[in-house]
Amino acid sequence: MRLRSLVVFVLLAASVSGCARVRAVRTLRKGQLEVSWTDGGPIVTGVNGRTAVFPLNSPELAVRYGVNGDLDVHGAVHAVPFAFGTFWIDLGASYQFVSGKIGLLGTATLNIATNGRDIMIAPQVTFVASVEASRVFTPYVAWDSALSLTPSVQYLGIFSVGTQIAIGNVRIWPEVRWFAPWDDQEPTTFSYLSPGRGAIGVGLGIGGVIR
Amino acid sequence: MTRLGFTVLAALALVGCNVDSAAFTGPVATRYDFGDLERYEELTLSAPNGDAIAAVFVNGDSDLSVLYFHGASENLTDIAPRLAYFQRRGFSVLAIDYRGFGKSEGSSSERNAYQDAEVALAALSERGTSPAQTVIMGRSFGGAIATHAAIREPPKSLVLESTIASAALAVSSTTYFDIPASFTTEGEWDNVARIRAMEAFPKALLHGDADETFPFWHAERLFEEAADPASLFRVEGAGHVGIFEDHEDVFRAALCHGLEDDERARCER
Repeated sequence: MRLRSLVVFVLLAASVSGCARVRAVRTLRKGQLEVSWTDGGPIVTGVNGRTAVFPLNSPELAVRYGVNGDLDVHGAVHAVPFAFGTFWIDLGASYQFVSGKIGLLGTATLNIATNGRDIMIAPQVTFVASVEASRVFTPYVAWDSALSLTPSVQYLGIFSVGTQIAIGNVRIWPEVRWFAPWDDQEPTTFSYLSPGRGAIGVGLGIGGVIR
Repeated sequence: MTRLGFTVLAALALVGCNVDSAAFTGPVATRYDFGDLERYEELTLSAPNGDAIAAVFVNGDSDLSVLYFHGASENLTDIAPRLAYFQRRGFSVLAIDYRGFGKSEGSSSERNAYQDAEVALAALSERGTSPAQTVIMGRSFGGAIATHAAIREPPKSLVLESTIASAALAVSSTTYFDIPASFTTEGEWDNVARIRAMEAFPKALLHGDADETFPFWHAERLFEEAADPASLFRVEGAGHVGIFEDHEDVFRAALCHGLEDDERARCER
């Protein structure tokens, strides 16, 4: 098979749409500003029938601001689409419904992407349940619901398990994601790591509270 | 290809490689090796911008010709066994290397390939072969070039092997999230639109049901859009490559299916 060039094409297509991790585990304190860099995506296990294990590359640069302790606003830029001349941002807000040792947080995000020719609009809602296990570790589970409205209506659900690691003002978020847990696998150029349905991915975020 | 290789390719793309030139590019050549092929001549056609287009014309024993469009990452040397096969079944054959492929000059692109197909059609006409005497055949990306050629004037038949429905559908099927195809490629490769607009002449869709590059649904989608008479040839267990090599009986059936009785008898013998 000598379509390695096609592989690049679909690899990038998939990377463009790969979601790296949840935006917020706990809201920031009032006036805090956090900057983070995240990468990751579904894990590819084969390309055109050949073994090639690696996670898709879907880096995002995000900024989050604490409005009042229970409410954050955030914005993020997705880096891979720039390779195609596409500007992709997401903007949103997170609200801490339950705080304390057990936390429940909801995030509403609007993904907007355009290359000047086409536009994609995709609202996304995320719920994160977390446990403050220690001053350093806050493990969590999350459920993402994303809905692309253009070019066609398509729902993507993502189940995530991860932890927030806080060391001083530095934050690290390793995360495992299960994309579209109900989706049948069918032969495609890629095969993803999958328990039989959907695709398993990883994400790693690194950031810091800079104010 | 190793994991490292893919990572490097992806990294290259991230720093600004053009995805379209990456998706449709072929091996260049300074000479061709056609093996035991007989009664052929290498031609040099001229693209609208003056670039040389390398072509080969193979003489057959009937009035019928095959105008053949190969896939990405191939050139005329790679299709030599097919050229000989068509010749054995009585067809004359004209095949070209698109600009940027083989010995052809210029750069590869979808648009250039379509222009090159028009040049090939004209070259065949100059040799006295009308579209009504021509089976147009394309494999993989070459299928989109074949439909471009076939939509201009109805051929004897159209045979599409392991081809793409459209770039937009290929992108949406690869990702878990529907993004506009133009986010990743300027190429359209829109066989769906063209086959939908085609007149009623014989069309054969030949596709492996284990194809991981363009899964079988690409052919099913095209079959749904094709006006009769159209036939879908499902090749069980075949991947993106290997139908011609490992399933010759099905390949032959698709090649011959649109011919008149006497022509088909010659084709199938």
